[in-house]
Amino acid sequence: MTKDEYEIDLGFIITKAPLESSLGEGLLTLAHHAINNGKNVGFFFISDGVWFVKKNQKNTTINKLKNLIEKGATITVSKDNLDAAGIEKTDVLEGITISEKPYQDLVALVMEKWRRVMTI
Amino acid sequence: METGDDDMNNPDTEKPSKVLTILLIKGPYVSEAADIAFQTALKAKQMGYIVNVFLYLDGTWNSHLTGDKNYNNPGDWLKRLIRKEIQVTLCERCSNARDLTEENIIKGVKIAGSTKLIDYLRDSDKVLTFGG
Amino acid sequence: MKNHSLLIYCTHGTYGRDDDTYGALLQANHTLAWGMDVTLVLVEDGVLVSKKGQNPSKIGLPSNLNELTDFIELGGKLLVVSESLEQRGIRKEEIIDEAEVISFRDIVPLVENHDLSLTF
Repeated sequence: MTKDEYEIDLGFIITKAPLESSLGEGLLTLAHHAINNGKNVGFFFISDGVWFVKKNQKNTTINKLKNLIEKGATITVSKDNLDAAGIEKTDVLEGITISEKPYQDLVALVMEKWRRVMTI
Repeated sequence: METGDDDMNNPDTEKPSKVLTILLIKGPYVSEAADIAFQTALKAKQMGYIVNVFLYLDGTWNSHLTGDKNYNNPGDWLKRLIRKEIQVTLCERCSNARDLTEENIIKGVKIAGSTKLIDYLRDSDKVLTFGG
Repeated sequence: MKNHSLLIYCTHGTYGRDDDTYGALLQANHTLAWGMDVTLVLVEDGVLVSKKGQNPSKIGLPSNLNELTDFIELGGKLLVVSESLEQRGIRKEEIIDEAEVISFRDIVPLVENHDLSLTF
């Protein structure tokens, strides 16, 4: 596939909670740099990664994520893991797609929409 | 749960020949890495992709879960991968370090040197690491 | 062969996480020896593996500097992220001379320009 056949230049899969380690925030920062350089980015939050999308957090990651959404990043979160965590839809940041079939959507993004992918 | 055994022959699913390799480096229960890795593999296979799974470092321990349990069991997921003819390989060096042999791992899981992973890396369209 | 280049994103570098650290270095070296181009990016705690003067003999482990030396001799590219060094109070003079220090934002084009990336 050529570069133009991919909608997203860089995709990130995040499985860790925002304050569990600095790796997730690191990928948010990378995404910022990518967008500032004209790239399209996407995120898929699954497992503990769903905690990134909860409203009302007081930490630096939520501001980075909001900023990415404003800049057009495509963000998807697994509903199965939101349910597991007890996070209601109304408590998820605006501009985020909630996936009812997370593995199907994850595979489709990785294999067909994302040119490059990183996971943590 | 979305990943099932019954949905393999969906006539609407294209059969692309793209290859996904999944590298798992964490053992069972310590995190969801194994569950995510195996479910991703199953779904990708169901969607028509060629899937390889390479168990590295503590990821090799997942192959040791040969018994049945009445709770979530990554070993069950692994057995499903084998039934669906997904290639599952253990790193030989990591297996030796952990005394994992063909006698005490799930049947159908192969043990091979890391050159097998390198072959996968060379020939895959995408590679995902889980447990990093 | 679809892929010729591999980026290893190494986020662990301590002997307390030696399985991840050593595992990353071993894979880097094997892949390099089998003909792929490999770039090893040391980030977060991964930068600690580049520290000079390591002597883990009393804790019963071989020095990871041996693997790093092999990596360089095999022609691998070793990159260490400056922000991660600074956060950990490590100056350039304290890491091995062969390491090239880069900024975190430099990782974006690296990911784009390598066929694959693995995260350890």
